Amino acid sequence: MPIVVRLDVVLALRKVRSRDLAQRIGITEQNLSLLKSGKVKGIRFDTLEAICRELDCGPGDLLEYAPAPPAEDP
Amino acid sequence: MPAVVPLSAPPLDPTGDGLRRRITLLCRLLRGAAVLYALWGLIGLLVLWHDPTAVDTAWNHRLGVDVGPVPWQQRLGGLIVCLVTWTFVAGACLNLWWLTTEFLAGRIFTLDAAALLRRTALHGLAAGLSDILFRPVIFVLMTLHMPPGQRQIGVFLMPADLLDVMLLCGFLALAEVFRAAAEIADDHASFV
Repeated sequence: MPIVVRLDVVLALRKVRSRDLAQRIGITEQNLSLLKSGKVKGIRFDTLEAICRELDCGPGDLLEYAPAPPAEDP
Repeated sequence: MPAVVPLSAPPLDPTGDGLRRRITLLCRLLRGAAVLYALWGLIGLLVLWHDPTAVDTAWNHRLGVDVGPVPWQQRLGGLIVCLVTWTFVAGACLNLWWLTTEFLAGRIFTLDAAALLRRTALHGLAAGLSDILFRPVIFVLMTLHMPPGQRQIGVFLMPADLLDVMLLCGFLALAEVFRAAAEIADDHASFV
């Protein structure tokens, strides 16, 4: 998927632990871990809003569009 | 894709406790009715086909001719044919029991529930169709001991048969719609 989740980078910059963020935004640590590793199909706006509020950042800091390079001709 | 644990916040979709609470009584009634219907059908069949007088009276009335005493071998044949239909009825009731058990456990919009709904509809449809198709067979069985000119064969159809088939086909279509809904719910569950 060309959407990369950069939550781990923002967490490191803000020096916030995953466990603390999960508690503050009301989701399980397991779900936050799945989100960090990009293993979810989507993120709800209210979850995104809560993360942005707690980490004082914008959606663009958390999500990045990284298109796959075009396949080379054989 | 790993399973996402439901959020601690209350879910916005209607698959939560509210829906389960609304259907609890209905599911319990359906479970009881399914067991009652299957047992009632079986006992009714055994009682009817075991009693020679009851068989003679029933078929005299149904065919409008005196079938006389029906030999036990033919009665046994009639019972076996009816038991085939009953097997499908029992299958439908059993699947309905499992389906309502899933609903009562809160597993409503799941692929398993959709598959059970489909199996219930298919068994019901098989029961309805076998009931219609086996009627001429039972007609023949009940008059097999009579002289060749007096034996009866005929397709006995009632408007209610068509209604049954229509409802069961509708039920089958609903099962497909339900499966699509379960797939959407499955997708929705993997959002955090």
